[in-house]
Amino acid sequence: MEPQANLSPENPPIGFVTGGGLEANLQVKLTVPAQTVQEGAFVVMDSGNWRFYGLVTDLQLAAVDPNYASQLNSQRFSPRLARYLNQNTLYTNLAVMPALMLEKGPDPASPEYPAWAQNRPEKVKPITVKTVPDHHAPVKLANAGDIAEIFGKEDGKTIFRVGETREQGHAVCLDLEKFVQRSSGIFGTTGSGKSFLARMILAGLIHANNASTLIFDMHNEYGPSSTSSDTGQPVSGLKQQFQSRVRLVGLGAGTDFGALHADFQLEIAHKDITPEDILQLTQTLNLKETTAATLDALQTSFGENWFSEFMNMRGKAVEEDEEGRRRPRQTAWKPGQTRRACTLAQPKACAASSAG
Amino acid sequence: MSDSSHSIPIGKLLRADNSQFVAGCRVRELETPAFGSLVRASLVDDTDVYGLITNISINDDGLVRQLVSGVSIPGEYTADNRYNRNLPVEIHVLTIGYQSEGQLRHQLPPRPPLSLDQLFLCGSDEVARFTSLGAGYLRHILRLTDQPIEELLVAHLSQARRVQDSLGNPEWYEDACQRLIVLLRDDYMRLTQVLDALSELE
Repeated sequence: MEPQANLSPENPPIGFVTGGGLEANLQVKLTVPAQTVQEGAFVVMDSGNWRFYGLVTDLQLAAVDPNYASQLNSQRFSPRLARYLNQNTLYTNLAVMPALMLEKGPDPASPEYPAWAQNRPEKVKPITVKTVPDHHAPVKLANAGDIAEIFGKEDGKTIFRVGETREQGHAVCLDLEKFVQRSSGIFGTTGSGKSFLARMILAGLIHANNASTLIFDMHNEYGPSSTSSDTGQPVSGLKQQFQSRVRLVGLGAGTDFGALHADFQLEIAHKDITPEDILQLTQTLNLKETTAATLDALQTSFGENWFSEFMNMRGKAVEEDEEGRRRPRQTAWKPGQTRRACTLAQPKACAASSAG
Repeated sequence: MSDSSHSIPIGKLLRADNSQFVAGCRVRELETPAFGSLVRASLVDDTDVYGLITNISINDDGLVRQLVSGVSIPGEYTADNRYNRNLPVEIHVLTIGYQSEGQLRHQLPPRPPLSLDQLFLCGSDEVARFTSLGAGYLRHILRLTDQPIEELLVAHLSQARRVQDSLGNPEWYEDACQRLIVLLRDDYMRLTQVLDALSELE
């Protein structure tokens, strides 16, 4: 896609670059009222043959001299002079994080353009920013074409609209085909919309049908319908949206989702649980250092049924063995089952007894 | 050379350099020039040098000092001293532009006026023509260090504003104020003094 000319009079500059760099962000002096720009706004800066794309990360009030800001000029001077004074001595700085750059080439009307056009690749793509714009490079809010240059244009297939820019409502899209080729993460503070965005992306993936999705829905946020904690509005779940294309799996017998039933229950047999599974939860369950030895003894004593046997044990319940010694109460003996006369404290004796 | 038919001659050059000059006039001629007025010195090569009156000084001598120490001064002595004696009133002028070969510029002239070159008070037409080129000449006023520039600005801008407003151009004064603020905004004390004075014109 050719970089669209950003020279429309409807999109005038909002400021110009005054300093900064790649690491510490660019500094831009705002030439429009501060309220016309918000943190998170997408901006573009044309400098030389390059167009730079950036994100507003901060807005800072500043003054030519702190004295102009520390007093109300309207109280000292006439209203007109106070207004002129404020306009020329008080201003706002933007901090812009440069992200991408695109070689747009010289002016098509310039003599250098034909040579440049001959040598450039057919499709010019934005690349990670490697340099900085010049001092006083004009800064503009990204228009619809700029946004589409970076995020793509919604096509109803794999380029999926996930939201709009705050200031002008231009569509921000996600290329789902590229999205599923890499690992991605969604990060944000509490209430910033992580779950909402994740739900939208999952809906897009299911709709585009270009990848299978396995969703670990730990809080029942995505599968069944729920209510937004911020707005109190009902939020349609993926099951309601996509019906048979989505299967709800209940974790454990009896799991339900209100009016919605699980398509099937997922249960893990006791004998499928290995000591290694328990050891992975050492920190979560606050297990002691002797746990590994205990688990090993259980497995040695009871084989693949070690977990069931362990779950059936009652703490501090004791019984007397044939020799009158006290031991932890064991499960009821069943015909054909070898009674293991051992305790957790005597694994080797137990093993020997079984062999004998 | 500008048409001096509507300009009032108010004095003759005493001394000058590229950025300022001093003219002398007799007391009766003092009725017309005023602090902050736009004036013009016409040179022999048809160049006109424009300036603003920054100071009008009246000097004394031994006779005047004797007269003032007297108990009473007869009226004819006062009139004689003012109108007959050869003590000139000095008009100090700050150069702010010049016209040469029909081209008006807000820059310092290549050469200063010469002794005895005539000094004229500019009429409304000349004030309009000079100020319509823009307010950039105000930077010359800011060079002054030994004069109260805020008073000079108030005096001159009130005259210039009147003329521009009569031409239907009130934006000129707004532009002049903004330009002053831009030129002086790095000097907080000086700018606030100027704005205090200009606020009295509002």
